[in-house]
Amino acid sequence: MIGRILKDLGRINGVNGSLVVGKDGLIIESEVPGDIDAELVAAMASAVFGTAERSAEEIKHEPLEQVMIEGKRGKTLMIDAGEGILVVITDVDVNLGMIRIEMKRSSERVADLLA
Amino acid sequence: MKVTVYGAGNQKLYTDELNLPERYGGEAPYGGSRMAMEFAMAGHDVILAEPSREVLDDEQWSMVEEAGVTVTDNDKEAASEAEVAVLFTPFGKGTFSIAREILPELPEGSVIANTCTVSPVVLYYVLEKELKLERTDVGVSSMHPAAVPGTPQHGHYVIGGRPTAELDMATDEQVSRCAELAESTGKKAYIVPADVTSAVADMGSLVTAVALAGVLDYYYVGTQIIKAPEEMVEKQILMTLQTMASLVETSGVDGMAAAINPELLVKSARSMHLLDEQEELDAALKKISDLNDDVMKWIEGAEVKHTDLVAAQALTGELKTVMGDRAAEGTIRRCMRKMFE
Repeated sequence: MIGRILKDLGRINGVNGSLVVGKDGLIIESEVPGDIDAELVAAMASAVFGTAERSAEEIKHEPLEQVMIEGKRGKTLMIDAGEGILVVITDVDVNLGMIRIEMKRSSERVADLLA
Repeated sequence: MKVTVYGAGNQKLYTDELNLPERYGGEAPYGGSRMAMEFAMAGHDVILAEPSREVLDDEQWSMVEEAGVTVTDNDKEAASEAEVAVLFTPFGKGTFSIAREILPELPEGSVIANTCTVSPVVLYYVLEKELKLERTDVGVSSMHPAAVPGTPQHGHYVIGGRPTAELDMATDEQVSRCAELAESTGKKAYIVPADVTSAVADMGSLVTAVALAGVLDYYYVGTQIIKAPEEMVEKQILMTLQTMASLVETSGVDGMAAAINPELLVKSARSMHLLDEQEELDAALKKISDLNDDVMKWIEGAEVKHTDLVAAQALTGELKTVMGDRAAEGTIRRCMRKMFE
């Protein structure tokens, strides 16, 4: 079921891959290109999201909604999904507004499935 | 109880190389096959899964079967009714692949019990995804013989109970089931935190025993004779153990010994001989003073590699502060898994 959600996200223009990882970095489902080490990315996503969540708490901006890593060659977006984190990997030029809406919707479904 | 033992034990190793009958006594078959025989003789339904027929001779196989054990070479089939699946399997990866293979086949509520070839915590971490997502009913514990089954020294089992870290590895009932199985063979069952079993039951228990003697000696001398604050003494013990462990991790035993410098250590430690009777220190000083030329050359030729000396619990505490509990726990698990995989 989560696999289906990731496949649907993959159909959006500019989305190159996505994962659902546990808050502890364990891969729950993964749809990423073969040249990406999904286990390592999952571990890093958990560390980045966890650190961002702690930073938001410390700065009193909690609860954290999402994290974006913006590189010259692409973006990585992460959003809270209950027991997990939804991670989406995109090209540089993408419709961020639309992706965020889709991620929000998908993350709610993932959160329900993981509950 | 329905029990499956994986791995009969290599009898050539036990009898020809380790010479167990002469050194320790008892009789072949030793190892997993002996555990299976003892479980069967205690009245349990026992399957022994062993793909390599040659690890026992015909007479030994007859003994196993006459004890009431069903022998098979099919690991998956052997799992289907196992209330306890005991892994007396090869060290490391071999055990992980057997555990992964049998996990989907195990009946509801089964418990996988490792023996001496892998820490139950590492086994849990390796199977974690499947255990958390697909088989939440299956537990991981241990039935560590802490001696070679079949020798007179094997009078007890070390059972992995609730770990010191908060991991749901097995239910209390699953742990009790392992203890009950052990006790049914007339042996004592010691339930210890699952993450401590390796230190007290594996072959490395030799190191634990010698280190514990040294720790207790220094703790007594430090707090009672020198009258140093307990906290200071404990910090020094921590630094010493941490330094040695970290150096072994990065540079091997030879690198650790090179960094420590045995000659210097003897001189320093001799000054801590403050009581008439410090047998542990006497024995250690004698042993380290008498290292032969081959050992000294081995140590002198060793490379001391980059080592981050840091108290592990302080580091994990900092990780939890910075990235939160869950992300930090995941990091800790991956580190543990990498050490053994």
